[in-house]
Amino acid sequence: MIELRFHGRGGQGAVVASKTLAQAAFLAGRYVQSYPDYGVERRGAPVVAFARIAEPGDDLFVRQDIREPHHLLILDATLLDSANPLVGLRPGGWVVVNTPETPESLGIESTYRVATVDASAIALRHGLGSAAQPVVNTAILGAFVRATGIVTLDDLLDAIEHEVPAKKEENRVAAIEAHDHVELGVPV
Amino acid sequence: MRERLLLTGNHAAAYGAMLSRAEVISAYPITPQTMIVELLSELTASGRLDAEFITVESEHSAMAACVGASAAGARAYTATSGQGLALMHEMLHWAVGARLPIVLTNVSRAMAPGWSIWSDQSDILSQRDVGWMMVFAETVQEAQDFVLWMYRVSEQVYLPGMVGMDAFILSHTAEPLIVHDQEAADAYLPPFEPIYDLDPAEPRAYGGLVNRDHYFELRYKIYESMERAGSLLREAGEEFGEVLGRRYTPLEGYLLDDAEYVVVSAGAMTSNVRQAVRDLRDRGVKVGLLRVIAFRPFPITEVRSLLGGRRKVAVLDRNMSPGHSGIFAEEVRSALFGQPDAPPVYGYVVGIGGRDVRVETVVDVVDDLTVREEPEMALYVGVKGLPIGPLRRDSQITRLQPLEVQP
Amino acid sequence: MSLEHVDDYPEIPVSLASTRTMLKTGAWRSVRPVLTERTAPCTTGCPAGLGVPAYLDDITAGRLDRAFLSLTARNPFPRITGRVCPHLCEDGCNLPIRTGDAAVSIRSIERWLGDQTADVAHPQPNPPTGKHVAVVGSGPAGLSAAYYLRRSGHEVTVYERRAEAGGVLRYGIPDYRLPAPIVASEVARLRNMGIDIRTGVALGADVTLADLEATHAAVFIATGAWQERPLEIDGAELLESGLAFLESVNQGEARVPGPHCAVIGAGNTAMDVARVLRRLGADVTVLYRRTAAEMPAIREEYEEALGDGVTFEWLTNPTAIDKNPAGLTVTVETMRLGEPDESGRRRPIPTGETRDVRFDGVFAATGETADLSPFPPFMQTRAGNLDVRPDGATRDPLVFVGGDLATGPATVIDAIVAGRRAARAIDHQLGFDARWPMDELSEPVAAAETNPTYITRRARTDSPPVATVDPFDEETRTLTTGEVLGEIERCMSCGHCNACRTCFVFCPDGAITWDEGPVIDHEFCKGCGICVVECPGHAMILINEREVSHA
Repeated sequence: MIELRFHGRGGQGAVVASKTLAQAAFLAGRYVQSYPDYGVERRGAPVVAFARIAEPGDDLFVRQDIREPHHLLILDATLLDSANPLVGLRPGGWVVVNTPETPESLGIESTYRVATVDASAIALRHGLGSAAQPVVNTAILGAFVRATGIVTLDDLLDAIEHEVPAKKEENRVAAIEAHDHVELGVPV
Repeated sequence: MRERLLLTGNHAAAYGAMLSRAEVISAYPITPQTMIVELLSELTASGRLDAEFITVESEHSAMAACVGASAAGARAYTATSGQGLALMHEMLHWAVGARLPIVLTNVSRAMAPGWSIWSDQSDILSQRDVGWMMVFAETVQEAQDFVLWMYRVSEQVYLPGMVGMDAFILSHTAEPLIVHDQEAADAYLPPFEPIYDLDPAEPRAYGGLVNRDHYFELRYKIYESMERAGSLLREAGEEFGEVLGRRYTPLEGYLLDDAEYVVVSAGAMTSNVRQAVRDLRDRGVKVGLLRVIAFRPFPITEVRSLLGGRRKVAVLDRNMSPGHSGIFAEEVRSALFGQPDAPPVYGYVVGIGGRDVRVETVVDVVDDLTVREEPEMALYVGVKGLPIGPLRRDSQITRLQPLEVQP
Repeated sequence: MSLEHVDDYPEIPVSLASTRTMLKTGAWRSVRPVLTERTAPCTTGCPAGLGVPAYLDDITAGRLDRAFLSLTARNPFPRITGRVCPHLCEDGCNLPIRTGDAAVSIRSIERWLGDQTADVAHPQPNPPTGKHVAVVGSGPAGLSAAYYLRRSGHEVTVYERRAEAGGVLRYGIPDYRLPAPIVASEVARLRNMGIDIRTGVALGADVTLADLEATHAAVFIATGAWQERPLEIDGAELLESGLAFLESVNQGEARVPGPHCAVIGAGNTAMDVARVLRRLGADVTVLYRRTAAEMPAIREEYEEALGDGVTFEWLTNPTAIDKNPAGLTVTVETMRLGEPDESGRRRPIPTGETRDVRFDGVFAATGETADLSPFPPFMQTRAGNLDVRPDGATRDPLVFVGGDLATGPATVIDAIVAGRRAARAIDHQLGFDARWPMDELSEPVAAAETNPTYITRRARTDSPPVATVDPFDEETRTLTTGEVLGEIERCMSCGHCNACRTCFVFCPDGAITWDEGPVIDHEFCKGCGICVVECPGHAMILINEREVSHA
């Protein structure tokens, strides 16, 4: 079972990101679960969401917050400073961050693998959200898929078709662009 | 056509109402139930569900509208949560007294204040004695299927039915869901043909004065019908398996055969109990799970036979009846009372107000169970600063301290 | 249903388990509401005792034939009384007492009904009795008697001295109040019943009472009061008779003595004379020795005279009339009011002050008397009046009298009632049952019993004045059907169920069902009396159950 945790801010689409990724795995035949840590869901407030993907042939039983995720998706790099998102991340896990910076520059400890993508710029280029609040969920998923290979890009694009309520084509293109342009940090 | 979709518990409940071909839906949105209302509103607006969606200004009115619709012979559905269910209370009684097979999904949330939207079963269990059938769903699939199951039985006994679904850990959790083929659902749940309906051509007074000479008999028939619902739930659960491929029972046992210890649980947190039982078995603890699915009518005989002779029983309650114990514990104790092989029952109160009931929490409970000598009415798990244990007997009411103002 | 065992019960507290069957609340009752037909105050106010609410109800329900029949059972001439009746019925109306609203304009409704049913034939008479009754005089009393006698099955011959039938209706009342064609059509309708009406036959001159008695089983005489009471003043011979003037006008022979005329007296005839003179272009002054408060004319006619521009000189008593080349000089004495006299009115007392007033013509209308010359002395009292019993019987068992002849000048409806009463008495005298209603009316519904809450409150609608080219054309018009139905909505229908359904609406137990009228289910009526209180006209009353069980 793979457990994923998504950190974002209200309005960026973290909850939809978790559902979309679960959908991609589900379309690939895996048993999945997606679950938001429902709280003060206001624009800008920190938001956490979870996804579980079962090993092929397995199904899931537990219903609890994911405290020791295999991988993290950080939809806003500023959360690295304020929300302590790396807590509990298993060694060797990927941290996929939305930032124009390079993986190395983030100063994340070397037990983790880091991938960065300027998802905000990509989202804005495709008219997703506003400059103050780009909707980066599909872009960061494109980067995540490339980094982890847990699902294929095609499954992700199908999932976007299922889950994203508007601008489906723009979201698909954003995911592809992020997939192609993500910077993958070199494991030390 | 049967479909397999990734959906939340809330959306599954709405699909349950759709597969049941609910004809009148009246509901008032409340977190965490809102998605049910939204989806049903969309389904009726798009014509996918041929139903009258009646918007109202309160849950009391929502149930009143369902009462009217059901009395007129329509299959009526509503959903609510927490304070909304409490506001419905008077009309819940009405639906029973008027013998109306309405089905309601309650997304259980903690009662305010403190204002809370998170998981806690005190809201639905506060309605224990109104006379509704009650079943507790664990999975997204059950959140959908139990709506059909309830209608199937409700319309045989003329008593309303409630499906309990826990906030967020089920209502907002997306999981694969089999949406049944509509024709198959229709085969399971035929159209509602009421014994009484409001017919202007044959005017009658409903709900009139009943004096002391007659009330008891009318109630007696309700009690009888509720008793009968026990066997009908079992039959309808079997039929569900035959027609729709998933068999449901009032109780579910897991690894019970050789279990010395049994954890009793209801609702979505049972998933974690099941995992904990597996983990404990790996450690060699002979523990099993008894899931209570039907709470009303309470499957007293089966509870006796499944728990009789065990060494110890732990009952998990995500609710509390202040001054007594957790309500499931109370029910289990009462069912076992006077049985020669009755095991000691330990009540554990967990996860109040949405606090995570984790697999580890359940493991802690079982560890406590195996070593604790005297059974307690209620043992509180996870209260900050306190070990698992009964209520303290020496605590005092403390005066509110003035707020410290930052200079 | 029996509910002795739990298995007898339904699942739901539906009707079966509600008060409807569980509790036969009729057992709670000590009094019960009963729908009755009570007397309305308009009915007791009417000299003919017309059941007004019942025929109003018939009108609303569209049953005009029935309304006509119930009306003509007591008054055969609604077209006529609907125009000239002083409508004492309206004086009794509970509406003004209860609400302050004006009375229902019953006369205008009656007129509309009369006009609507103008072409309806009167009912077929009863089978012939073989009796032949003579009626002398074809005024309202004579025609009324003829009508009821004929309906009773008798052969009836009416003798009228003038060229046309109708008496005062034709020759006394001016056309602008009662057009001659209406009288003619009513007479024609009577002829169609088989009544033989012979005009130009005068009692005394052409036929004697003895002749009539010899050839008829009974004689009814109603020749009216057509003799002007003589004024005993100097120059009285210079006066013209008001009654004769009206008669000439009604024959189309109006002659106005000059532009300035006076009328002495303030009765209804004086009003008619004054108004006719005005319509013929004269200035008219009414000279009256008392004041408006004592005048005998019906208030309405006085007001109409005022409206026509008639001048009134009160406390003015003519004492002499003199003729001069410029016309007539009337010497009048100013009076003052003293103590009430035997009529209850304050007596005029001379003051001694006199003055002269000049007129071109002066008309006397100070009262009319009957010509009793055809009657043999044995029929008269020592004072020189006819000896008449209330039912019209006289000292001659074959002779009955009625109308103004018997009573002195009175109203048309009084004459109609006298005719009906005499017809009944004659019928009885001839050996038949008394067939025409003359029942004692019970105490009417009191205003305090009525409930105006649910009736339509709006202003009274009366037959309105109309602009006419010819001053003798009818001065008012008949209401429209819509106006009549609207006016009837104002009526509380005292004592008569007009199917308003108020009781049906208000019965808290649903114990009243509807089958043309309220049907009270005594199994469930618990005698709360709400229907009785809410009934606008109090046609429902509460009676004690003991009155029922011991009846």
